Amino acid sequence: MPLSSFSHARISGIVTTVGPIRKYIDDEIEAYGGDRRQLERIKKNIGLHQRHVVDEQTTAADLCQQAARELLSGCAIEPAAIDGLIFVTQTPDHFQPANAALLHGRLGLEKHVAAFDVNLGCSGWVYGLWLAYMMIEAGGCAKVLLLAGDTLSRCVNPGDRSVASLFGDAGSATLVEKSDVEQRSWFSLHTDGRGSDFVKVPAGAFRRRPDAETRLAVTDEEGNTRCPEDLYMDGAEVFNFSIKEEPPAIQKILDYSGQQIEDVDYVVFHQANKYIIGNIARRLKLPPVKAPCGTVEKYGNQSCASIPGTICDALASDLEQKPLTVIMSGFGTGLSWASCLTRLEELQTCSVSVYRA
Amino acid sequence: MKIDEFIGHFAEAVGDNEPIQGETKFRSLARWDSMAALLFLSMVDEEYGVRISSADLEKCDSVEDLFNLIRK
Repeated sequence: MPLSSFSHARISGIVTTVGPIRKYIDDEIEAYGGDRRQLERIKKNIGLHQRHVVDEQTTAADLCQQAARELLSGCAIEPAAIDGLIFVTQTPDHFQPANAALLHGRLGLEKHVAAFDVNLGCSGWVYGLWLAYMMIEAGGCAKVLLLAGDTLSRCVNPGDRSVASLFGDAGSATLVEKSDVEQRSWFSLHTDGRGSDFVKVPAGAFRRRPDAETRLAVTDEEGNTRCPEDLYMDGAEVFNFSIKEEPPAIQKILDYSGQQIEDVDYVVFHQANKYIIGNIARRLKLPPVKAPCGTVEKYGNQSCASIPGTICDALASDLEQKPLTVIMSGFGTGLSWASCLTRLEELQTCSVSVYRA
Repeated sequence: MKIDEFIGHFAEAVGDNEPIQGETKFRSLARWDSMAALLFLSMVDEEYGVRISSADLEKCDSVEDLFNLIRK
């Protein structure tokens, strides 16, 4: 079901919690061979500057727990009112049990809750939103808590320049509620498993169990060092994928909803990096102001939390003034991509917080 | 399609001031790195409507090899 639309579910609040430790690419100049000009070029083009990360003890579940608590209090919702919980992550606390069950306990939810994890990366928040809308429109749920977070800074090798300075850690909490008045939303969802090697953690799960060899770091021809348990990304292929699939995906969701790009206030892309967003926007002839891309230089690439992270950071003050028609589009590991066109209005809360241990 | 024009686009995309010819080994350019590769891929897509996979890029050695990729 690649295309679907809904009429009686809405987003009523979003909170994003970011890692408490600030790191700066300027402090990592040795990784760029001490070449200041090269570093400046990367900062300018990719949009890297500062990122918020966690320590070795903090997980996506911790970040999402804080975001969820702030969301519930900001929306004045009792935990007992929640009847659905979706946790989107690729950096769970355990293989078993699911993060959704952990958070169900930690947040003190009732037993009548459907709770489960979704293993998706940068497309995951939009997929989670689609699931939440389905759970509501099918009639079973009235208030679904969508948690989406990752700690990819803990997955990368500091010696791998293609990813080391890119990722930030964040956890988001989004409240999706049944709406009595009509509220239209349109979704499209896609997958291309032929590109499953392009963003990958090769070892550590059950295809290849962790052992001494999977922890052995080697340096490739490009001079990047990592071990099979570290996150690998083929930047060129990810770039090709993004500029090939995202522009038609945005056009398709517009056609499906019967709207024009002029009707849309913002297109919130997954914040892969400034260069990729700029390239997609240019191909869509989208004015830069309509495609926010400042999240990466402020927080880092936040994986599945980057779309809610950008709404909370860049759109919150606009949303206080007026409703916004937005397209939200995530793309990444899988390869997987998903888009949603909806109207954001009267959010009870929409903010960024820094994690407090 | 002329290689001179391609070299002009290449130099502009990669941002290198060194003299570039068809036989230039692009990986030995001071400015060539993964960022330059992205800038190059984007230029090729916009100017020539061609997408080059990282596997194809890996097989190339000289600027002329890159030119031959988009001429196909």
